[in-house]
Amino acid sequence: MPIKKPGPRLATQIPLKFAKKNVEKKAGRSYDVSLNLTPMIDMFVVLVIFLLMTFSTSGEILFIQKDIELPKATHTEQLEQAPVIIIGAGQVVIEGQSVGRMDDIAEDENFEIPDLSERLTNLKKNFQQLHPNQDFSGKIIIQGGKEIPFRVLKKVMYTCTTVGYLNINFAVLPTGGGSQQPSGEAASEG
Amino acid sequence: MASVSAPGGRSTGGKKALNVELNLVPFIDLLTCLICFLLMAAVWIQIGKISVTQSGQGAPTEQTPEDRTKLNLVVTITPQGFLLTGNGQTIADILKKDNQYDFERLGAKLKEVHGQYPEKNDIVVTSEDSIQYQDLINTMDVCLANEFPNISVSGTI
Repeated sequence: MPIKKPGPRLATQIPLKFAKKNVEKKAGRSYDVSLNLTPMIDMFVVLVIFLLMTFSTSGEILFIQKDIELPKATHTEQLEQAPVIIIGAGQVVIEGQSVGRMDDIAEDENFEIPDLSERLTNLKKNFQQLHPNQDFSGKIIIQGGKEIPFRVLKKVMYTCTTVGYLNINFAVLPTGGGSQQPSGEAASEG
Repeated sequence: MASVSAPGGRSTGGKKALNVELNLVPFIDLLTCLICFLLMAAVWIQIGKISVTQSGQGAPTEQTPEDRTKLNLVVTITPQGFLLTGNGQTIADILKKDNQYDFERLGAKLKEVHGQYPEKNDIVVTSEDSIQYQDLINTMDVCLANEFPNISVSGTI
Protein backbone atom coordinates (compact mmCIF):
# COMPACT_ATOMS: atom_id res chain seq x y z
CA MET A 1 0.00 0.00 0.00
CA PRO A 2 1.50 3.34 -1.06
CA ILE A 3 2.08 6.03 1.47
CA LYS A 4 -0.16 9.08 0.98
CA LYS A 5 0.31 12.64 2.07
CA PRO A 6 -2.24 13.36 4.80
CA GLY A 7 -4.99 15.81 3.78
CA PRO A 8 -6.77 18.34 6.02
CA ARG A 9 -8.51 16.69 8.90
CA LEU A 10 -11.06 17.81 11.47
CA ALA A 11 -9.98 15.22 13.86
CA THR A 12 -7.81 12.23 13.50
CA GLN A 13 -10.79 9.95 12.82
CA ILE A 14 -13.03 12.18 10.69
CA PRO A 15 -11.91 12.90 7.14
CA LEU A 16 -13.16 16.12 5.61
CA LYS A 17 -13.83 14.45 2.29
CA PHE A 18 -17.61 14.91 2.46
CA ALA A 19 -17.44 18.56 3.41
CA LYS A 20 -14.88 19.16 0.68
CA LYS A 21 -17.09 17.47 -1.91
CA ASN A 22 -20.07 19.63 -0.99
CA VAL A 23 -18.11 22.82 -1.14
CA GLU A 24 -16.68 21.94 -4.49
CA LYS A 25 -20.14 21.37 -6.01
CA LYS A 26 -22.15 24.09 -7.72
CA ALA A 27 -23.07 26.78 -5.24
CA GLY A 28 -26.75 27.47 -4.57
CA ARG A 29 -28.00 23.95 -5.19
CA SER A 30 -30.56 23.05 -2.54
CA TYR A 31 -30.26 19.84 -0.61
CA ASP A 32 -33.82 20.00 0.75
CA VAL A 33 -35.80 16.95 -0.23
CA SER A 34 -39.57 17.22 -0.23
CA LEU A 35 -41.31 14.02 0.74
CA ASN A 36 -44.28 13.02 -1.33
CA LEU A 37 -46.95 12.80 1.35
CA THR A 38 -49.95 12.22 -0.90
CA PRO A 39 -49.83 8.37 -0.84
CA MET A 40 -49.40 8.42 2.93
CA ILE A 41 -52.45 10.65 3.39
CA ASP A 42 -54.42 8.45 1.00
CA MET A 43 -53.54 5.43 3.07
CA PHE A 44 -54.42 7.22 6.31
CA VAL A 45 -57.81 8.26 4.97
CA VAL A 46 -58.62 4.72 3.84
CA LEU A 47 -57.55 3.38 7.24
CA VAL A 48 -59.67 5.95 9.09
CA ILE A 49 -62.72 5.12 6.97
CA PHE A 50 -62.26 1.38 7.56
CA LEU A 51 -61.84 1.84 11.31
CA LEU A 52 -64.84 4.16 11.50
CA MET A 53 -66.96 1.57 9.67
CA THR A 54 -65.99 -1.19 12.11
CA PHE A 55 -66.33 1.09 15.15
CA SER A 56 -68.72 -0.25 17.71
CA THR A 57 -70.25 2.14 20.20
CA SER A 58 -71.09 -0.59 22.70
CA GLY A 59 -67.41 -1.36 23.26
CA GLU A 60 -66.04 -4.64 24.43
CA ILE A 61 -68.60 -6.34 26.65
CA LEU A 62 -66.99 -9.73 27.00
CA PHE A 63 -63.40 -10.54 27.66
CA ILE A 64 -62.62 -13.61 25.62
CA GLN A 65 -60.60 -16.11 27.57
CA LYS A 66 -58.18 -18.42 25.87
CA ASP A 67 -59.41 -21.61 27.49
CA ILE A 68 -63.11 -20.96 26.84
CA GLU A 69 -64.29 -21.60 23.32
CA LEU A 70 -67.71 -20.10 22.71
CA PRO A 71 -70.30 -22.08 20.74
CA LYS A 72 -71.16 -20.93 17.25
CA ALA A 73 -74.58 -19.95 15.96
CA THR A 74 -75.99 -18.28 12.88
CA HIS A 75 -79.09 -16.51 14.20
CA THR A 76 -77.78 -14.08 16.75
CA GLU A 77 -78.65 -10.67 18.10
CA GLN A 78 -76.35 -7.91 19.21
CA LEU A 79 -75.00 -8.27 22.71
CA GLU A 80 -75.85 -5.63 25.31
CA GLN A 81 -74.18 -4.64 28.53
CA ALA A 82 -75.11 -6.92 31.45
CA PRO A 83 -73.43 -8.89 34.23
CA VAL A 84 -71.44 -11.83 32.86
CA ILE A 85 -71.31 -15.36 34.25
CA ILE A 86 -68.42 -17.36 32.84
CA ILE A 87 -68.74 -21.14 32.85
CA GLY A 88 -65.65 -22.94 31.70
CA ALA A 89 -62.16 -24.11 32.57
CA GLY A 90 -63.62 -26.04 35.52
CA GLN A 91 -64.98 -22.94 37.24
CA VAL A 92 -68.10 -20.83 37.44
CA VAL A 93 -67.10 -17.18 37.64
CA ILE A 94 -69.23 -14.07 38.04
CA GLU A 95 -67.76 -10.61 37.53
CA GLY A 96 -64.26 -12.01 37.91
CA GLN A 97 -64.93 -13.92 41.14
CA SER A 98 -65.23 -17.66 41.33
CA VAL A 99 -68.39 -19.07 42.88
CA GLY A 100 -67.51 -22.73 42.71
CA ARG A 101 -65.94 -25.55 40.80
CA MET A 102 -67.93 -27.03 37.94
CA ASP A 103 -67.52 -30.60 39.23
CA ASP A 104 -68.85 -29.67 42.66
CA ILE A 105 -71.81 -27.85 41.14
CA ALA A 106 -72.55 -30.80 38.84
CA GLU A 107 -72.51 -33.26 41.72
CA ASP A 108 -74.53 -31.10 44.11
CA GLU A 109 -78.10 -32.25 44.66
CA ASN A 110 -79.39 -28.70 45.02
CA PHE A 111 -80.33 -26.72 41.94
CA GLU A 112 -79.41 -23.42 43.48
CA ILE A 113 -75.75 -22.36 43.72
CA PRO A 114 -75.58 -20.41 47.04
CA ASP A 115 -72.49 -18.26 46.28
CA LEU A 116 -73.78 -17.32 42.84
CA SER A 117 -77.18 -16.52 44.27
CA GLU A 118 -75.61 -14.23 46.89
CA ARG A 119 -73.48 -12.35 44.38
CA LEU A 120 -76.38 -11.97 41.95
CA THR A 121 -78.56 -10.61 44.74
CA ASN A 122 -75.85 -8.07 45.58
CA LEU A 123 -75.55 -7.06 41.93
CA LYS A 124 -79.29 -6.61 41.70
CA LYS A 125 -79.33 -4.52 44.88
CA ASN A 126 -76.46 -2.37 43.61
CA PHE A 127 -78.25 -1.78 40.34
CA GLN A 128 -81.44 -0.76 42.09
CA GLN A 129 -79.55 1.62 44.38
CA LEU A 130 -77.57 3.19 41.55
CA HIS A 131 -80.52 3.48 39.17
CA PRO A 132 -83.58 4.08 41.38
CA ASN A 133 -85.65 5.44 38.49
CA GLN A 134 -84.93 2.60 36.10
CA ASP A 135 -86.73 -0.70 35.88
CA PHE A 136 -84.59 -3.72 36.56
CA SER A 137 -84.23 -5.46 33.20
CA GLY A 138 -83.03 -8.79 34.59
CA LYS A 139 -80.49 -9.24 31.84
CA ILE A 140 -77.58 -11.55 32.33
CA ILE A 141 -74.99 -12.94 29.95
CA ILE A 142 -73.81 -16.53 30.19
CA GLN A 143 -70.45 -17.03 28.56
CA GLY A 144 -69.98 -20.78 28.48
CA GLY A 145 -67.48 -23.05 26.82
CA LYS A 146 -69.05 -25.18 24.11
CA GLU A 147 -68.27 -28.44 25.89
CA ILE A 148 -69.92 -27.66 29.25
CA PRO A 149 -72.68 -30.12 30.23
CA PHE A 150 -76.31 -29.05 30.52
CA ARG A 151 -76.23 -30.29 34.13
CA VAL A 152 -74.16 -27.25 35.18
CA LEU A 153 -75.86 -24.81 32.83
CA LYS A 154 -79.36 -25.54 34.12
CA LYS A 155 -78.25 -24.95 37.72
CA VAL A 156 -76.70 -21.60 36.78
CA MET A 157 -79.87 -20.67 34.87
CA TYR A 158 -82.07 -21.76 37.75
CA THR A 159 -80.08 -19.63 40.20
CA CYS A 160 -80.30 -16.61 37.90
CA THR A 161 -84.06 -17.01 37.58
CA THR A 162 -84.65 -17.38 41.31
CA VAL A 163 -82.75 -14.14 41.99
CA GLY A 164 -84.71 -12.27 39.33
CA TYR A 165 -82.47 -12.36 36.28
CA LEU A 166 -85.10 -13.68 33.90
CA ASN A 167 -83.63 -12.45 30.65
CA ILE A 168 -80.79 -14.89 30.04
CA ASN A 169 -78.48 -14.31 27.09
CA PHE A 170 -76.11 -16.96 25.82
CA ALA A 171 -72.97 -15.45 24.33
CA VAL A 172 -72.16 -17.09 21.00
CA LEU A 173 -69.81 -16.51 18.12
CA PRO A 174 -71.85 -15.53 15.09
CA THR A 175 -71.00 -17.40 11.92
CA GLY A 176 -71.75 -16.14 8.44
CA GLY A 177 -75.06 -16.62 6.61
CA GLY A 178 -77.60 -15.32 9.12
CA SER A 179 -80.59 -16.93 7.46
CA GLN A 180 -79.01 -20.33 6.99
CA GLN A 181 -79.56 -23.32 9.14
CA PRO A 182 -76.52 -24.88 10.70
CA SER A 183 -75.06 -27.23 8.19
CA GLY A 184 -73.83 -30.73 8.87
CA GLU A 185 -70.36 -29.27 9.28
CA ALA A 186 -71.52 -26.90 12.00
CA ALA A 187 -73.39 -29.70 13.69
CA SER A 188 -70.35 -31.92 13.71
CA GLU A 189 -68.43 -29.38 15.73
CA GLY A 190 -70.62 -30.07 18.75
CA MET B 1 -44.90 18.86 -0.17
CA ALA B 2 -48.31 19.44 -1.65
CA SER B 3 -48.43 22.63 -3.65
CA VAL B 4 -50.89 24.46 -5.84
CA SER B 5 -49.32 26.18 -8.81
CA ALA B 6 -51.11 28.86 -10.80
CA PRO B 7 -50.17 28.79 -14.49
CA GLY B 8 -48.47 31.97 -15.57
CA GLY B 9 -48.00 33.10 -12.03
CA ARG B 10 -44.65 34.62 -12.80
CA SER B 11 -45.53 36.02 -16.23
CA THR B 12 -47.92 38.64 -14.83
CA GLY B 13 -45.03 40.83 -14.01
CA GLY B 14 -45.18 40.71 -10.25
CA LYS B 15 -42.30 39.20 -8.38
CA LYS B 16 -44.54 37.37 -5.94
CA ALA B 17 -45.25 33.83 -7.02
CA LEU B 18 -48.82 32.59 -6.90
CA ASN B 19 -47.80 29.04 -6.05
CA VAL B 20 -49.27 28.03 -2.71
CA GLU B 21 -47.92 25.33 -0.46
CA LEU B 22 -50.64 23.53 1.47
CA ASN B 23 -49.63 22.87 5.03
CA LEU B 24 -50.42 19.21 5.44
CA VAL B 25 -48.76 18.74 8.80
CA PRO B 26 -51.86 19.46 10.98
CA PHE B 27 -53.94 17.24 8.74
CA ILE B 28 -51.49 14.35 9.13
CA ASP B 29 -51.41 14.95 12.89
CA LEU B 30 -55.18 14.77 13.05
CA LEU B 31 -55.33 11.61 10.98
CA THR B 32 -52.64 9.95 13.07
CA CYS B 33 -54.48 10.76 16.31
CA LEU B 34 -57.74 9.50 14.85
CA ILE B 35 -56.16 6.25 13.70
CA CYS B 36 -54.56 5.67 17.10
CA PHE B 37 -57.87 6.27 18.88
CA LEU B 38 -59.88 4.08 16.51
CA LEU B 39 -57.33 1.28 16.67
CA MET B 40 -57.49 1.28 20.45
CA ALA B 41 -61.28 1.43 20.56
CA ALA B 42 -61.77 -1.19 17.85
CA VAL B 43 -63.56 -4.40 18.81
CA TRP B 44 -62.04 -7.16 16.77
CA ILE B 45 -64.20 -10.08 17.86
CA GLN B 46 -67.92 -9.71 17.35
CA ILE B 47 -70.01 -11.66 19.83
CA GLY B 48 -73.69 -12.33 19.41
CA LYS B 49 -76.33 -13.58 21.80
CA ILE B 50 -79.25 -15.95 21.89
CA SER B 51 -81.88 -14.72 24.26
CA VAL B 52 -83.87 -17.26 26.26
CA THR B 53 -86.04 -17.51 29.31
CA GLN B 54 -86.15 -20.29 31.84
CA SER B 55 -89.36 -22.26 32.00
CA GLY B 56 -90.64 -24.98 34.25
CA GLN B 57 -90.23 -23.02 37.49
CA GLY B 58 -92.20 -23.92 40.56
CA ALA B 59 -95.38 -25.94 40.73
CA PRO B 60 -97.35 -26.41 37.53
CA THR B 61 -100.21 -23.95 37.30
CA GLU B 62 -103.70 -24.99 36.40
CA GLN B 63 -104.40 -24.91 32.71
CA THR B 64 -107.25 -22.80 31.46
CA PRO B 65 -109.37 -24.14 28.59
CA GLU B 66 -107.62 -21.63 26.33
CA ASP B 67 -104.25 -23.06 27.25
CA ARG B 68 -105.40 -26.54 26.40
CA THR B 69 -106.17 -25.59 22.83
CA LYS B 70 -102.70 -24.11 22.46
CA LEU B 71 -99.82 -26.24 21.34
CA ASN B 72 -97.15 -26.74 23.94
CA LEU B 73 -94.19 -27.47 21.69
CA VAL B 74 -91.17 -29.08 23.32
CA VAL B 75 -87.87 -30.23 21.82
CA THR B 76 -86.04 -32.67 24.03
CA ILE B 77 -82.40 -33.36 23.30
CA THR B 78 -81.32 -36.84 24.32
CA PRO B 79 -78.07 -38.67 23.66
CA GLN B 80 -79.97 -40.62 20.97
CA GLY B 81 -81.41 -37.66 19.12
CA PHE B 82 -84.30 -35.20 19.30
CA LEU B 83 -87.82 -35.77 20.53
CA LEU B 84 -90.34 -33.23 19.32
CA THR B 85 -93.56 -33.22 21.30
CA GLY B 86 -96.70 -31.15 21.22
CA ASN B 87 -98.95 -31.19 24.30
CA GLY B 88 -97.21 -34.37 25.43
CA GLN B 89 -97.87 -36.19 22.14
CA THR B 90 -94.84 -37.19 20.11
CA ILE B 91 -94.70 -35.28 16.83
CA ALA B 92 -91.37 -36.64 15.68
CA ASP B 93 -88.57 -38.78 17.01
CA ILE B 94 -85.44 -37.71 15.19
CA LEU B 95 -82.56 -40.06 15.82
CA LYS B 96 -78.93 -39.23 15.31
CA LYS B 97 -77.56 -39.76 11.82
CA ASP B 98 -73.96 -41.00 11.58
CA ASN B 99 -73.62 -40.33 15.30
CA GLN B 100 -74.47 -36.65 14.75
CA TYR B 101 -77.62 -34.74 15.49
CA ASP B 102 -79.88 -34.41 12.46
CA PHE B 103 -80.52 -30.66 12.57
CA GLU B 104 -81.86 -30.62 9.01
CA ARG B 105 -84.69 -33.02 9.85
CA LEU B 106 -85.50 -31.14 13.04
CA GLY B 107 -85.64 -27.93 11.00
CA ALA B 108 -87.96 -29.54 8.45
CA LYS B 109 -90.29 -30.81 11.21
CA LEU B 110 -90.35 -27.41 12.93
CA LYS B 111 -91.17 -25.77 9.62
CA GLU B 112 -94.03 -28.23 9.19
CA VAL B 113 -95.37 -27.40 12.67
CA HIS B 114 -95.01 -23.68 11.98
CA GLY B 115 -97.00 -24.17 8.79
CA GLN B 116 -99.83 -25.72 10.82
CA TYR B 117 -99.68 -23.11 13.60
CA PRO B 118 -98.45 -19.92 11.90
CA GLU B 119 -99.10 -17.68 14.92
CA LYS B 120 -97.02 -19.90 17.23
CA ASN B 121 -93.64 -18.46 18.06
CA ASP B 122 -92.73 -20.05 21.37
CA ILE B 123 -90.94 -23.30 21.96
CA VAL B 124 -89.45 -25.06 24.95
CA VAL B 125 -86.03 -26.64 24.60
CA THR B 126 -85.07 -29.18 27.19
CA SER B 127 -82.17 -31.49 27.40
CA GLU B 128 -80.66 -34.37 29.28
CA ASP B 129 -77.94 -33.54 31.78
CA SER B 130 -75.07 -34.92 29.74
CA ILE B 131 -75.80 -32.91 26.58
CA GLN B 132 -73.14 -30.42 25.60
CA TYR B 133 -73.76 -26.69 25.38
CA GLN B 134 -72.88 -26.52 21.66
CA ASP B 135 -75.67 -29.02 20.82
CA LEU B 136 -78.13 -26.98 22.87
CA ILE B 137 -77.10 -23.79 21.07
CA ASN B 138 -77.35 -25.51 17.67
CA THR B 139 -80.86 -26.71 18.53
CA MET B 140 -81.90 -23.21 19.57
CA ASP B 141 -80.35 -21.89 16.38
CA VAL B 142 -82.55 -24.26 14.35
CA CYS B 143 -85.61 -23.08 16.32
CA LEU B 144 -84.71 -19.43 15.56
CA ALA B 145 -84.20 -20.28 11.90
CA ASN B 146 -87.70 -21.75 11.74
CA GLU B 147 -89.43 -18.74 13.24
CA PHE B 148 -89.67 -19.78 16.85
CA PRO B 149 -87.91 -16.77 18.38
CA ASN B 150 -89.48 -17.16 21.80
CA ILE B 151 -87.29 -19.89 23.26
CA SER B 152 -87.50 -21.12 26.82
CA VAL B 153 -85.07 -23.60 28.30
CA SER B 154 -86.42 -26.07 30.77
CA GLY B 155 -84.23 -27.89 33.24
CA THR B 156 -86.61 -30.75 33.83
CA ILE B 157 -87.62 -33.24 31.19
